[in-house]
Amino acid sequence: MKKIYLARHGESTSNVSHVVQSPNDALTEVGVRQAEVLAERLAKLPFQNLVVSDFERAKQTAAPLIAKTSIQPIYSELLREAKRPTSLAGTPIDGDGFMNFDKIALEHVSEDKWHFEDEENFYDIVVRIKNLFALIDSLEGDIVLVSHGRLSIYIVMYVLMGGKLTPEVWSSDFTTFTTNNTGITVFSYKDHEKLWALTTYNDHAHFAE
Amino acid sequence: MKTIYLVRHGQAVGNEIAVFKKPSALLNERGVLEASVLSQKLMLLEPELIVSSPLPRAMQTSEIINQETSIPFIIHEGFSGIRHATSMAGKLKEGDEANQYLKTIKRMYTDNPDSHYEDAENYTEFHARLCTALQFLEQRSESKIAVVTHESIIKSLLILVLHNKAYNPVLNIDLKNHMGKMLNTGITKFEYTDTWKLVSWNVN
Repeated sequence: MKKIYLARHGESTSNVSHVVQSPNDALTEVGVRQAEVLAERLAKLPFQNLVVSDFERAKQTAAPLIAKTSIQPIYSELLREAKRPTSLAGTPIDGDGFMNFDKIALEHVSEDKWHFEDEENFYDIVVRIKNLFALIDSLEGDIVLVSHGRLSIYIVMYVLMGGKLTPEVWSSDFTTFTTNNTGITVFSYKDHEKLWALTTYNDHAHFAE
Repeated sequence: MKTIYLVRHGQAVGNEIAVFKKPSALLNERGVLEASVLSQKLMLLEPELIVSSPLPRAMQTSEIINQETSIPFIIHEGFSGIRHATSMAGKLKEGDEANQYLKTIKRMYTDNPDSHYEDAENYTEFHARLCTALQFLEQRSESKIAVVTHESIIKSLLILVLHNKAYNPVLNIDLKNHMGKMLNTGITKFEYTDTWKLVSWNVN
């Protein structure tokens, strides 16, 4: 039974300052320590492939794991965080600018051509996840992915809906999921039914509560 | 904010080989051990109350937790396992007969959620008691509660929360298909303020 271990990056500077993230955001000191604990945990798993988002905070998170294994990582844009409008990067996530975008984008969530600016809309992200699963299918053995919070929720819902995620289901359900830095989500392939299933979500027990 | 830990009971006779369990199934030796390990974890999580499914395998798990942690426990019928047709009890969950049964009830509930397959609990009844169970948790005064229940109930509660308690038998059955096997005594964590949030799922 093939398995995917999907990890979220460690705490980033923007996670702390509550602003819209940029591709270059780095981990905080706490984030670096979280990445080390995550590496301890993931290194014990029998995986053969490591695919990492090419954003800085994900690369930094994967670094201690890469140091522990002999697996050659694949850096992929397929695992990047869902892109927000460039003009809003670095602005507060509870500021007027971002709140306004969030509200309008949700109103247009069912329109595949609609964009506020240069962000990815629901349809763009679903295409990206389809491509991600094509990559996953092409790899032999178990896979560790290092990615981002919002994209992880997209992937979870995509799997739960058997690849048939709609904008309506997404917009009503995504707020039900919370994510933690370096939380691990596990998917298992059911060989009989030929489908992916969610086995564990956001396991962050490596950080005592 | 309220924190809810949903816990699957320890391994019971019938879990080793995946059969439709008889309601009377008891924990096996490993299940008793698992319940004991779970008690240690719950000590750290500090729930103020254990709510137990009334089925013996859950009750046994709750009693062990109660003995080892002194956390009080009460029973709530809403967290009982799905009541399948008595004629299926003890039969394999995979294979032709099981598939035929599951396909039949899926078609029946899609056409009419009120229809009954022999003495099995139907979709309307199931949905109503899960809503009651959620409401019960929402209204309790404790801020941390652990619930000892069953795999199918934990899966159905997530689906219910995702649909804002709305009613959709087809989507429910499909979603469940995309949830993997759950661990005996695995822990699932929800938070509730005015809405339900999934924090983690099936953590060892």
